[in-house]
Amino acid sequence: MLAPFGFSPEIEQLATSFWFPRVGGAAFGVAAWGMLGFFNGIGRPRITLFISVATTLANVLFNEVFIFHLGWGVAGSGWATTAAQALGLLLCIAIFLQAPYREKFKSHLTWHPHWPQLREQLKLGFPSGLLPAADLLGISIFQMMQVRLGTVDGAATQMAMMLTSVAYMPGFGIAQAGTTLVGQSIGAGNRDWGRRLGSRIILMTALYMGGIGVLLAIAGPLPVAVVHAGR
Amino acid sequence: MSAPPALRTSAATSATSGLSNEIATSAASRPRALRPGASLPRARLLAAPLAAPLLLPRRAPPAVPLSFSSCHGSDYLFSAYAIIDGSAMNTRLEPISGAGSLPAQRIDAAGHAHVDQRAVLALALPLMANAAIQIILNLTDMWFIGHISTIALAGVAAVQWLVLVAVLILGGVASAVADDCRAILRSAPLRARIAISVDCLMGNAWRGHRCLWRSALRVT
Repeated sequence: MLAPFGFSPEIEQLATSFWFPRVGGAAFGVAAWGMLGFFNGIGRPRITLFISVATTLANVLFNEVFIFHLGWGVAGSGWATTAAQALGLLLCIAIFLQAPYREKFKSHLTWHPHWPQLREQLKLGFPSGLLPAADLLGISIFQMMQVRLGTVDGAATQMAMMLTSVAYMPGFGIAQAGTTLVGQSIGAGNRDWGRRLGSRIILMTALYMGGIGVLLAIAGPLPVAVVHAGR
Repeated sequence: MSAPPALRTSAATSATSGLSNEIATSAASRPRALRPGASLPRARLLAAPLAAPLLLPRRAPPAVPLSFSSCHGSDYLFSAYAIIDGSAMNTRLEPISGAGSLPAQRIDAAGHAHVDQRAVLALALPLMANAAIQIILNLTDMWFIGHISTIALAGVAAVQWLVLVAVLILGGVASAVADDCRAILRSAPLRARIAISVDCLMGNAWRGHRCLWRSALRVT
């Protein structure tokens, strides 16, 4: 799969050793994502936050153990993320099966698949996942080109791309809140209110992301220096 | 959007506070309303007005002054009502100002609906914090991999976005779960479907897991 991109053997070996544990364990992340979506959807984002914090802390711990103590290198980072996501999923399931959710949402009755609903869910969800995936595919090809240009170029681009996420990731948070509220408005049968609410939240998101973007552009070298100082 | 204050119902008296005007006035919310073309129950309709004066006791209008009380409901705050002694009916005399019946809705003293920024932020802030945690997660990974070597960072950079592509293709179903929950939440009889949606996700995750492992093995 990576052969057409013409990476050096060393880069290809490192990429493959990261790919296997990371993609192999992605199902844990996807399942946890869906369950966090449930908590967001019912208006309990604090539970999402708690599980995310726990997952991040576990990821730090596992990274330290797998990369440095066990000496697994790049593969250790992939395994650390997978293990942290599995832990996050376990936490999600533990909370999901607690008494209040069992009583209110019959969460304990979800152990067997309902095929018609599953088909409906895939019909709705698969195209909605394809759109951002196609967007990211462009970014990933760009990133691969950078790595092919040179190791330092690829590493530097990766740092810059991760730091720019400071601008847009919290914007996703506001947008998620917007979809919750608009969805609830539609569920309540008032599309006009949903439209008005959605327009206001789009404005809030644009202001936030634009503001942070300008700040990052002005103070760009500073965060890069902070990250680089760790090396 | 906004209705005159006199038309608004209080949390104490409205059984449909979670519904919009469209739903509250639709045939679906009045199951006893007849479908077009259906025959009227003529005998009952004719008999009811005639029998009512005989069956219902007459009550003289109250000759006592009105007393006021403050209502602290879940939907409306600080609404003043005139309670007529000896009657179950409450009549509101002042315009209300408080939370509306729709998500993030605030009703001002004049009865106009506004977007409640605080309610939006109350929901958005934990999600923003969650996104910030995701940033920390990614930066932490980068920091650890950067400590191995620059070439290790470049190697991970080559495939990290591709990993996200794979996750997003499967994760679209996960985002659909959240959307389903949001839309279904307000329709109480369908609440149990949320659990089914999550069930669908788990089924998808299992199938996705097999697919991803096959993909991972192919690469290696």
